[in-house]
Amino acid sequence: MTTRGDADTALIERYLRGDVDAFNDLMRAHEDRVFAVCLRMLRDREAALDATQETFVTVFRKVDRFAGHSAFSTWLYRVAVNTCYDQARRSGRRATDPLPEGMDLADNRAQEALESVELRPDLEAALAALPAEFRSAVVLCDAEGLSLQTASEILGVPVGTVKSRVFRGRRLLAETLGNLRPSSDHLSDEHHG
Amino acid sequence: MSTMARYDPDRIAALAAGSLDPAEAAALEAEIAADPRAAAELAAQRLALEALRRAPAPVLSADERTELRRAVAAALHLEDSPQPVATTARRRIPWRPLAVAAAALAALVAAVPLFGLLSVGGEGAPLTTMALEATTAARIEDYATSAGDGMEGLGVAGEQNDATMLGATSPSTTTAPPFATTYTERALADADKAVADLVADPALLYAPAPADDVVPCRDEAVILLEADDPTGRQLLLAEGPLAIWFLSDDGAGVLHLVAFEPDTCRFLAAYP
Repeated sequence: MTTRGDADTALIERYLRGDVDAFNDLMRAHEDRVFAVCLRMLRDREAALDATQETFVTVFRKVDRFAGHSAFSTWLYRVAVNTCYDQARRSGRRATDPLPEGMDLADNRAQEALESVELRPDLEAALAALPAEFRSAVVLCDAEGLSLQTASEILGVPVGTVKSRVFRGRRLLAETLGNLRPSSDHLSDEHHG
Repeated sequence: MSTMARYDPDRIAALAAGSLDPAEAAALEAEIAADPRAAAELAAQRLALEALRRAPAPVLSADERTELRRAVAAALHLEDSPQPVATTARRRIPWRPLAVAAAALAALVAAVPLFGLLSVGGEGAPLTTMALEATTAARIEDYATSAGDGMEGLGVAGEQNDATMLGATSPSTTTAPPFATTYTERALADADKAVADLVADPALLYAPAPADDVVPCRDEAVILLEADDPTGRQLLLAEGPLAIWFLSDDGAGVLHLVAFEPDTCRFLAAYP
C-alpha cells in the first residue's frame, strides 16, 4: 500500500471516530483529482461539480463499509466514474454514443501533428466525443497517470481490456485532433507533414 | 498480409507511453520505423498522449472548493454550523429533486384514479383525493425546498436524518396501517423511514428473490429513476408492502431508489 494509501486509511479511521479534520484532509487530498476526472468525463463544469459532490457524499456515507481491499483512492475514483456514467446517462449526454462519422476538427494549415494539437483548443471536445468506455480509460491512464492495474480496478474490467481501450481511445483521439485518417489507412503522412 | 499484425498494439502503446525499458524501446522503434503503418500508429498514440499530458489539469476554483466541502459536510451533518447548505448551494443542484418531484407528480396523478377505486366508499373518494393532492403538494414542496439548499435533496424527502446514513442502521419499529387502505403523512413518513433503513442496510435488497418474483411498478420506476434497467424487489416490511426499484453504483449499495405501493404503484418515497 502506498504512503497515500496509509494516510487515507488513518484518516478514514479518524473520520469514523468523528474527527471532522480528517474529513477535511480527505477532501483536500482527493477533491481536485476527482473533479478533474469528472470534468474530463462530463466536460460540463457544473455537471462535474455535481458529480464530484455526489461522489464524496456517497463515499463518506459508505466509508464505514470500506473494506480496504484496494486503495481508498481506487474506490473513490470508481464511484466517481460510475457517478459520471450515471449522470451522463440521465442528462442525455453522449456518454455512450460512438464517434460521429466524418468528424473533422482539423486545422488544415497545421504542418505537423503535435503542433496542430497545440494550436487547437479542441482537446476537451475530442475527448468528450470518445465513447465513454474509451474516454474513462484514457482519462484515468493518460490524463491522470494511473497505472493500468489501478485503472482496471477502478473500471472493473481486466487489465487487457484497459490496454485495448487506451490504445483505441488514443487512436480515435489522434484521428480527431490531428485529422489523421482512420487506422485502416496509412497514417504516416501526418507524421511527416 | 498486414505488416501491422507483427506489432503488438500493447507494445506500441507502451512505447508511446515510455514504459518500455530503453533497450526494448530502441529495438521496437527501429522495427517500427521500417513499417509506415506501424510508424503512423505510433505517431497517433504519441500525439494523443502528448495532447493529454500537455493539457492543464482541471482544478477547482477557491469558491468551488469551499462550496464543495461545505455541501458535502452539510449532507453528512458533519458541522454544527446552522444550516450551511441552505445558503450558498450551487445553482446546478436543483435539477434532480425538481425532476424527481415532477416525475413523482406525474406518477401520482396517474395513480389517483386507481387510488380512488381502492378507497373506502364512493363518498370517501373525493376526500381521499384531496388528501392525496395535499400530500403531494407537501412532498413536492419538500423537494423544492430541499432543491434550494443543494444537498438536502440527498436525504429522503428532506426528512432523513443523515446520521443514520453513516452506517448506524435504525431498524423500524413503526407499525403503520397498510398503505393500501390509507394515504397519510404518517404512511409517507413510514415509507421514508423504510427506505432510509434499506439504504443504510441494503441486505434485503440483495437477498435472493424467488425466481418467479415479478416486481410491479417497473414502468413508473423507469420514469422516476430515468434509467432503463433498475433492479426491483418487492418487500413486506413492518411499515407495509413496498415495491422497490433501485440503482446501484457498486453492486452492494444503493445509488438511487424509489418505493411504491405495490398494488397501485403509488409513489411513496425516494432516495436521494
